[in-house]
Order: sequence, then structure tokens, then C-alpha cells
Amino acid sequence: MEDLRVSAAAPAPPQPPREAGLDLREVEREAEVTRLFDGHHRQLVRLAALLGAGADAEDVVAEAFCDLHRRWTRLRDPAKAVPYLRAAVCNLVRMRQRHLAVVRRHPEPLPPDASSAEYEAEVREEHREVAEALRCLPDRQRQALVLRYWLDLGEREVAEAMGISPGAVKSHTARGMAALARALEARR
Amino acid sequence: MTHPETEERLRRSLGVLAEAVRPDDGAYRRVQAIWRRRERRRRLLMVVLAVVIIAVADALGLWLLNRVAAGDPVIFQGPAPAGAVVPHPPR
Repeated sequence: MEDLRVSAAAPAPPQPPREAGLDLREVEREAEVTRLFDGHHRQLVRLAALLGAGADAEDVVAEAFCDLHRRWTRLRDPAKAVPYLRAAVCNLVRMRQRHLAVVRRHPEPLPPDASSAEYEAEVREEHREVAEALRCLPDRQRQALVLRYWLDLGEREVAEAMGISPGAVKSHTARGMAALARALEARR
Repeated sequence: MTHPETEERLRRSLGVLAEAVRPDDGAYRRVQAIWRRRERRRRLLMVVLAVVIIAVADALGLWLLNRVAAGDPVIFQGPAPAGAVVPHPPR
């Protein structure tokens, strides 16, 4: 009873800021996804490009963020958001490559703007050779190598992003590296 | 070429290739517009679905009531069971 009287006499707490049509949870979700976007968008677009998304790298990442926004309330741990985004990008790039393989019946160039003059000027011959060699690898091996050697992820994190076991990651990385070394040797 | 050499070259090249990728500066506005539009569409779909379910349930109920002839019991068929207390209507 006492508590009720005290709370009734206390001044009303300040109302949380509300945007039109959005409740507090919506505002929080929007803020969190925006924070993740600011911090990780650039890196994810680069990851998508290195994995072979080509000119669709931005669209792939946009789709991953929209997916995260939709599933935000079901995400148990906000710290899992970045691994979730990485896994979404890997999956979307793989799906896109399968789709293109069916539609065009030939592999897609690795970097997004490979034909642009700006890109040509920036990427030297030795790096282009690596890009070409990477492009010829199977999807899984390329993903394992990019996640391991560009993002410096551990085996467990790579496995989480690719949706496979750490043992399979080890196998894909070893095979990919051996194939890459052979391809680069052949180009000498 | 040994694997440590290849690893080093791969790291270097991936770094350079990644640096050459420059995301669009207006990407945030574009993506935010997409996820907001999808959220609105999802909510609208939920509302439409709820309205349809309620409307169908109402229509079904009205149809069943309409089939019963005037004076027939709507819920129970036959006489009330023995010992059942039938409340008197208020005077």
C-alpha cells in the first residue's frame, strides 16, 4: 500500500523519445542496426567483393542488413550480430554464384569493378594474378581462404560464417592454399 | 612457391584488392529505406491476415446461426440433463 502511495506521489518518469509509428523496441532495433552498419558496412562490402559478388556486393550486403533488421528480435545475443552478418554475406554470395552459374554458364569475375579503369590502375599485376587464381577455386575453398587470410578469423569463426565444421574449414583451407600455390606457380 | 610464401602473397593481395573496393557513400539511406519499407509491408500483411481470419470466423458463426430455425435450441440439442440447474431469467 505504502509503495503504491509513494509511486502515485512521485513525478511521472520522462517519456522515451518516440518516432512516428515506432515504439521503444523499434527505436532500439533501428539504433543497433545503424550502429552495426556504421561499423561494419565497408568491411562487409569488401568481403562480398572478395568472395566473388562482383558488382552486386553492395546489394548482397544490403540484403544481409535487411535480414538482420527483420530477425533482430529473435537474436538472443547482440554480440552475435556481426558473425550473423558475415554468415549471411557468405550464403548470399554463394547463392548468387549458383544462380549466375545456371544463368550464364560461366564464372563471374572476382572484384566488383574489374573492368573499370580506376580499378585496373589500382591493382597491380601481381595482385590481379592472385585474384584470377582465387576466382578459379571452388566457392568453399575461396571463402575459407578469404575469411582466414583477409579477415584473420580463427577456424571456429570461419566455420560459423560458412556454416560448416572446423574440420571441414581446415580441409578447405589446406586444399585451397595448395591449389592457389599451384596456380600461381603455373603463371610464373 | 612454398605455402608460407603463398600465404604472405595472398594476404598482401587480398588487402590491396579489398582497398580498391569503395562502397557507396549513400548506402545507409538506401538500405534503411529498404528495411523500413519491408517492415511496413510485413505489418500491413499481418493486419490484413488478422482481419481476414476474424472476418471468416464471424461469417462462419453467422452462417451457422442463420441455419437454425426460429425456436430451436442453438447450442444444446434435446432436454437439459437431470439435476442440471436452469437459472431463472431475471424478472
